[in-house]
Amino acid sequence: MLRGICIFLVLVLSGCAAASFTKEQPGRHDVGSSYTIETTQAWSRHPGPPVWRTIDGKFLGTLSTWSNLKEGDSLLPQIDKKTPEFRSDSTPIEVAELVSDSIEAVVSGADVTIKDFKPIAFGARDGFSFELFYSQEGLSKRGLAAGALHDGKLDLILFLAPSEYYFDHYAPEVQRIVASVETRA
Amino acid sequence: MSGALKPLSLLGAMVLTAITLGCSTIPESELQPGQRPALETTEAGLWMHMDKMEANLRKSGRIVEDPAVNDFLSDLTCRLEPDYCQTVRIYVVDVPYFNATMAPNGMMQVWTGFLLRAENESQVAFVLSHELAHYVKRHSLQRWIDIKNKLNASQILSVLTAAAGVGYVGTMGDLAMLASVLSFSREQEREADDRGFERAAQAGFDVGEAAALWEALRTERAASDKKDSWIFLSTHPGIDERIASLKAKSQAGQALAAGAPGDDGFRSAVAPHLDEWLGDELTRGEYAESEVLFRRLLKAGRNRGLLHFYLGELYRKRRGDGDMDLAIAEYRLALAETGCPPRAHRSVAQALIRTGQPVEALKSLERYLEADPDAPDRRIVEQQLQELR
Repeated sequence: MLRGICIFLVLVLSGCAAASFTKEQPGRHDVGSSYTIETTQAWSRHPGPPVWRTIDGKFLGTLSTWSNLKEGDSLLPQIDKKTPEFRSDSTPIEVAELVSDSIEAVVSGADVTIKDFKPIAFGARDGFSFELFYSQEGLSKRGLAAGALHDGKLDLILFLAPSEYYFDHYAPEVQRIVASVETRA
Repeated sequence: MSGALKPLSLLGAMVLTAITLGCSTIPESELQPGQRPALETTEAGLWMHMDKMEANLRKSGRIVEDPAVNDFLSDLTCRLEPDYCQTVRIYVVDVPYFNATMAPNGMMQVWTGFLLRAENESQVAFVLSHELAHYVKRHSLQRWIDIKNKLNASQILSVLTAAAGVGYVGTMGDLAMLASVLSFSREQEREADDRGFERAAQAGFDVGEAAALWEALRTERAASDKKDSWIFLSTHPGIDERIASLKAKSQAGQALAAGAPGDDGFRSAVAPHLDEWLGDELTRGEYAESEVLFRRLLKAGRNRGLLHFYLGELYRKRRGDGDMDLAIAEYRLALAETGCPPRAHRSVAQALIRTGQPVEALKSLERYLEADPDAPDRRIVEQQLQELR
């Protein structure tokens, strides 16, 4: 039994799944079938799910995107505990709870704080944005989320990075990406 | 209690000892107050790695620094084990699961999930006393030598390689698996129960509270649809056996000690953290267990405003049949109490929208902005108000 446990742990913890990043040049890119975004820098794109992009590496900044999230879907793959699920009749306030609860589900002790929660235009849709602040193993993290609810579905962009240097460094690019959203009918 | 993190610490010690040492003899003697192991011993290697783990823990950002909580636990430790308390370092770790651990070098971890579940000073005392017994009895060293004698180097290093990726606190699955590999033996747990109970009773704590805590945990666990989420139970003797044993000890001990639960110091120390810890409890997503826990704390007379609010949050997030109505009822109970956070107005509004009560929802959102004019979500709430008008 112990041998089995050892093998299992080694496989799981060594990240045996092959990384499948692609270098994505600046330009306009599809986010599922719901909307497109435009980047002005080269990002490394991971197919997910969820799809996420990084420039300096996973721990120094991730830009995750979701398109047409529907009833019962989670922002994150199910892990060893219940992951919060999206409800089709959610309000923007409940979407913010979904985001913070999802982070807290995987980052124990994160204690996410939401600030500057406001309405924005998300492409042609009425959307919302908010900032997040939390702690991950002693490191202060900061995030920016933007999205829209439409037809019982959720489109969402979420950027998370260390508060020190990295968030501020990439915030202009992320804000440009959010402003560049073009929604499809 | 289980050493949920202790297995990770023990794994560190394998680096030093797995390959270079042959079979060792399991020590029988207790650790003496102030004693440090001789440098050439297996025990010294174990301590060295515990020291490294402790340094990592201090940097983890997960330590609750509040002097009131830490002083309370330190004072309790000195009442329980006055000869050893100067060599024990207590760390309150922000993890919403029931657990406390004791490392062989004197590092004790007390998880916030345990402090949330304890009802009084005596319940905390019996858990700490049990952990201190593991320390005094040198159980970690005994267990480590026992395991090392049974495994070969490659098996040990395989686990070690894997564990290196877990970090300070991995997922509950990682921790449960590692705990199952390197938990204390049943005999050691019984021994810790015996000494721990005796010391706590001698210190004047209410002997009936040891079994009471475990009975409460048994009830909470019975509500779970995921029994393996209880890491401490995976590494301990059967809970029924433990309760029976503690009750028997309690009946015998009542003739010797007539302690009191001792509520005031404990409750006032943890009261400022209750809001955060109740919220953390919900992040476990084990709503059936949390419902039992919150009801128990209500019955025990804890902060009613907060507990009704978090019961409302629980039902609103669970969204089972009839849960929205239950949530609204709980929010209203919360709002009638002092200690209810202003955001209860916002939460009840979301539940009222869900149940087709827009007029009531509008009033609640207005009350929210009145109660918290600088709310960080004021602009989105104002937009929601416009939609409701």
